Amino acid sequence: MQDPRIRLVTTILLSAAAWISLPGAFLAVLWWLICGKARTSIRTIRSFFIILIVPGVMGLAAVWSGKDGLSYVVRIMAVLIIASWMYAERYPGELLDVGVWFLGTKTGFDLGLIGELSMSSLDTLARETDRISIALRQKGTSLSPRIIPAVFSGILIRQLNLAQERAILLTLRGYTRGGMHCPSFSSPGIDRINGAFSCTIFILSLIAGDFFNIAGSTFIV
Amino acid sequence: MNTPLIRLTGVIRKKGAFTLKADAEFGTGIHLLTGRVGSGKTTLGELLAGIGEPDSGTIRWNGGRRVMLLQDTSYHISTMTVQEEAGSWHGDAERIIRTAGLTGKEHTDLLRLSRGEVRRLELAAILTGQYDLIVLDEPWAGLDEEARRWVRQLIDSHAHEIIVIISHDLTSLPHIDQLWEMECGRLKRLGQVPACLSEWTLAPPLVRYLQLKGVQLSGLSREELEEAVCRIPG
Repeated sequence: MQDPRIRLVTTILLSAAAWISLPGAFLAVLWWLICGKARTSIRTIRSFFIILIVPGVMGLAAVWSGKDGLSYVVRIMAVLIIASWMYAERYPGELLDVGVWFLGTKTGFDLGLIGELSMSSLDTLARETDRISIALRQKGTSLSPRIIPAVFSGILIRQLNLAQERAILLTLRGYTRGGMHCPSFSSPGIDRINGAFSCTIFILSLIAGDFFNIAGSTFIV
Repeated sequence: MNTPLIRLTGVIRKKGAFTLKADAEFGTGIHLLTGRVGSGKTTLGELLAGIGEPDSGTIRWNGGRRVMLLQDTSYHISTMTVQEEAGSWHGDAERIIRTAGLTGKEHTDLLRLSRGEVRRLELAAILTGQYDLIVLDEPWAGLDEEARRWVRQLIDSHAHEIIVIISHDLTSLPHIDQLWEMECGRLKRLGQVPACLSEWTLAPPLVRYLQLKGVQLSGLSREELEEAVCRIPG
């Protein structure tokens, strides 16, 4: 999906659809398989299961307390799949484009810039994790809780240094608030059709989840 | 050239619009891989170190395959103190600390060391370890002159292994056996140093100046360059 505006709205609608009801979660995954071409930023099954650890524990806790934990895990999985699709589809600068298009060159620019810096930090974090994993393997050190403080403090310090360098760069370039940016978008017809499908899924999920009756209490079906 | 240990045949690695192509043999000795920023030096170093596979072609080894890659950031750090870190390399911790010049700082928190000291600890652990191939990507980054000299001396004492130095900083080199150049993703073997130096098209300004002055270079190490500068006629 080339148009980041449609992608953002689609992500919000599909995530909401997946969260509201189980049928919505299945339809969101179906949308991802067909319209999203099953693109994902989760590169290995192992990574997927690592991401699922926290929701899995939450799901177990829900089951333990007599709630429908399985439904929670399935719905959160669908939300994660949609998020990973969005992350895989994005291109550098799109949050700035969307921010300025939506909220203008002051607030929109600032929000877009924050988004871009955050995304860039996530990229750096992913790259660092890969590099550390390789370095430790070559060194003959296995991943264990014992090495977490040292590894994470290294990552944290490098992230802080990066943030400081960026802050200095922005200051040197005279940034105080807002900025000039002229976004341009490519919006092919297929993006609009896929976006329309996501709207339909959201509405179907609302109906299937009996949203209007249970709004204000719980969304779990 | 000595019996090759690593042979790259028709290696192609693509990264977006960038394509790396390499056919090469790396034998025992110290190799310098140089080239412009973004020419593919680090990508080749990663392939040699087994990080990622080529899209086509083969990388064959004639022997052991204990590889170590030193990257520009200290990614190997996995403990909190000098003593623990030296011990985590499965070698002689005392020797590593002594080689790094950190005796007396065994219980110092690694976060309190300077970047140069952490680099020295990492390099000491790598160069005192048992590896068949050591790839050093910009080993002088962030080091002062004294630390650079220390790294040169340490590398010089390891000519019995395959050491590939990736650097575009050519002012602090140890003795170099083989010179390689990466140009727009193409790996070129320039040959044995110093014989190949006259054909080095992307030679750094100092080397070009010395050649222009008719000074015969005996090598690329700091000491060899200083000695050559002293022989400038007039």
